[in-house]
Amino acid sequence: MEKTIVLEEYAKQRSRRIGSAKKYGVTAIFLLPYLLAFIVFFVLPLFYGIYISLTSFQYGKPGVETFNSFAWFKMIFDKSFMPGIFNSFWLSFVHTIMFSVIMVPIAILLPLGLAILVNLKPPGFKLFRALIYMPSIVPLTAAGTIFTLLFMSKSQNGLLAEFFGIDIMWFIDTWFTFNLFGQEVVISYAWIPIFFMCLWGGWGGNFIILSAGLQNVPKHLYEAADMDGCSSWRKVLNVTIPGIKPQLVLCLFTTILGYLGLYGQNYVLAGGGPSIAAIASMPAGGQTSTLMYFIQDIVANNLQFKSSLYGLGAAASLVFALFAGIISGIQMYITREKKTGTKITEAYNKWHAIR
Amino acid sequence: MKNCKMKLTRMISLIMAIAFVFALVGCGGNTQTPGGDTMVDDLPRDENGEFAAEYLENVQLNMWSVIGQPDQDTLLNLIKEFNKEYAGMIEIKVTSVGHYDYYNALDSTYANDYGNFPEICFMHNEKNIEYALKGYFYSVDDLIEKTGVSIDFANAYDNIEKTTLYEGLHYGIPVDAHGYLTQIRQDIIKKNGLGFDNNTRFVPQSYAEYQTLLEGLRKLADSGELWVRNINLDQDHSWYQLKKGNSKLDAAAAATVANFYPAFFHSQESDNLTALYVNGGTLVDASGKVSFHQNTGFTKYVTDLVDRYNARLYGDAGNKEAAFATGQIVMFSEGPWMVANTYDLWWNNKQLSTAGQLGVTAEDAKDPVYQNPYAVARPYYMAAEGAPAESASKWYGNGHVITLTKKITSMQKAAAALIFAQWLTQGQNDDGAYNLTTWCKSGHVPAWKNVYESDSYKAVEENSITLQAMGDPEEIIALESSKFATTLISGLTTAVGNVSAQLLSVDGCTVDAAKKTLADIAASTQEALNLLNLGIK
Repeated sequence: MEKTIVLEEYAKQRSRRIGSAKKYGVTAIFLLPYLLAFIVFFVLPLFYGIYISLTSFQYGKPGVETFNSFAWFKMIFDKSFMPGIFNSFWLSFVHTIMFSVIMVPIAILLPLGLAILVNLKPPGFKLFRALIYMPSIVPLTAAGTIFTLLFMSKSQNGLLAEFFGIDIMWFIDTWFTFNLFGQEVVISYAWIPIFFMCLWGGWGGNFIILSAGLQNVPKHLYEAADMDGCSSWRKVLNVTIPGIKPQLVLCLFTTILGYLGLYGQNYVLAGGGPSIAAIASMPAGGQTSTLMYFIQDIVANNLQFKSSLYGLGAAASLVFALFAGIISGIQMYITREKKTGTKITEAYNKWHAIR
Repeated sequence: MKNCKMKLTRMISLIMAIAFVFALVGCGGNTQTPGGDTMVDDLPRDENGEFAAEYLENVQLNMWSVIGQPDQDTLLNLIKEFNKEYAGMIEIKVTSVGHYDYYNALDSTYANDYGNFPEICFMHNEKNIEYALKGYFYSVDDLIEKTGVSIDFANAYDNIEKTTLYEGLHYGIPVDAHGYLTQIRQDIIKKNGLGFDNNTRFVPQSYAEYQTLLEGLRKLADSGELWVRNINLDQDHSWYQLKKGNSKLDAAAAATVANFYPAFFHSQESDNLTALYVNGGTLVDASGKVSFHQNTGFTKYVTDLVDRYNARLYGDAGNKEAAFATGQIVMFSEGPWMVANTYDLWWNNKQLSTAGQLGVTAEDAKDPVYQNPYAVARPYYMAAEGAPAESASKWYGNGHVITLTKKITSMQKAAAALIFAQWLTQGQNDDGAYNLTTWCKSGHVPAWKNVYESDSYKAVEENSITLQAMGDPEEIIALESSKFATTLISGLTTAVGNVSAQLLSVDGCTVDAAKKTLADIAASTQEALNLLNLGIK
């Protein structure tokens, strides 16, 4: 009898084990590739980056580094320690913020406007949709060539100079200057071609996401709005935009992060220049340098910096990641789904009905 | 059926997961790591302990070459010859890496893919010590002694050899040297009577002559009296004067009238260094501090850039080669590799000596200067007043060097690499001509005295306007050895480039602004050196 009970127990336990293995084993197998990729390509590099930022790590000679008393962070935050690095980092920071503040609203609103117009389905809207998206499939370097040809100087037969007589040295001339915390900030005309290249190449992605969102806005809400006598503008404000809020939040999130990490366009068009004499030999010592440019100058563009300042690049990357995280957090907080009284009531009613 | 499908799906998922894990493991790449200075002495020797190339059996060496076209084919053909000559003993496998990627690829491969790191580097000599101090290369003196390969540095020019030397040890075998040449439209100078020595010499040999020529050309152009012509193949070669409103002018000629400049203003990196060295300057002083901005002659070179641009002696004429051919500019600077292969064909073309067609008169067709309107010369005009006599007539030149990397861990390979270096720099073919002469044909002076003085080289030089212009290798000033060569050259180039950019801007540039820019960028370069020193610690 005793034996039978033990066997029953065993059979039950075995059955439970097999059940659990089946239940969680398949989940684990499906999760494994992602988990591996996440650990290998994100978690490990993150911690290795933190380690590098705290040591005298040299590219190509791992294993001989020692803790360097936060020297790389001191360079970024303490002007008296290494003024050139301090100036070039924070100037890049200012360039990044200024460009993002101007670029992000336009990079959202313009595709939104175009998506709303195309969603009205005017004659030939499919063609417009294709044309609007088309710049997004042009590779960055090819787009760079197009914009370089447009904005070249008169002596180099630039197209804007040839056709419209605009004789500006776009990649050399200074647009305006201003003082920020006692530091002169020079704004180059080169930002204009960079702006247009970003806008032209970037609007397609947001346009497609927002267009897809517009398809899902319930038609009956527009009918109700019509019956309430709403104008077209009111319908856009009170029906369309709330209806595509998830897509707008996604676009905002990706666009902010995209322009905080601006590098390709200013690299291809202006090479980060024109150079600023006082910090010309520093990483990102140019008038169109951004935070990402600062990091890239250390870990890729300048071989001598790459050999011995990898830790500074890692420290700058961490500061940049923290900054981007804060901005994204603020954005997520502002655009979060607010639990209003009505929604709580609706949820309660649903629960009550099920019960 | 449904069960079967599920099983299949699970199986595929499992296979994919396993494949992914294998792929990740594969990301580790080659597991070889830099190993230091360990060298196995596996050199085959005879009973007397002597080594000879014949004892080697199928030693393969991977070489990275920095050489691009048009010189690449010449080098590849030479290596083909070497492999043929040493068939069964040594084989050099060449990977041509463009000079834009070469050093980046070298660093990345050393750090991440050492298994594919080259055993020989054919690279620029100004980078030799910088990369040797990173630990990439062997000092070759000891290897030469141990293998007994005959390379006698006494035959090398000291001034070029110094780029391979650090603390008395050689980290490479010098091959050649070259600098940038000034391209000159001697026909325009002659036609307008602006030549020297009673209009019989058309290459300015000093700062004063160059300035006189620039001013003379500008003056004639402004008064509408300057004669120019187009020398491009198949174009109308008839002379015309730069008079505004001349209805006979075609589009190219009209552009020449509107924007004529005696010389193209963009300076080249090599010219900047010539201006520094011929005036007795250095990139860094004895204490290692940045010093290029302190040299009076170099400062004059930068301020001259401003003065000459503002006086329209220099100008931005768009495409310099096109402008030169039409006569829109009379001088510009370019590397020697372009001269023999491209420009001769287009500019010193046979049409210019054929009277009665394309506007060529009988008188022009007979004149040797008008037959060969395109001349090249060293930038003799860089030495300002007060330049030291020992450097005033020289010029800056970089070049190429063969290095043995620490990927070589066997004495056999080291010997094979040295045999190749010896063959290329000192070896002779069946006719007694140095192999290096063949390489030099593409526009390089040899780094070896016996090659330069040989009859085979002199014969080649006689037919090459490039080699004639470059002249004696002894007159080349090479870069001072520094572990921060890249940063220093970049600082100097950025300084001159920044002044050039200011000149093109709406606000222009003054002499004072140029001096301030030079000082600011020198200070920034010094800070970069401090930063690098700090990083290395």
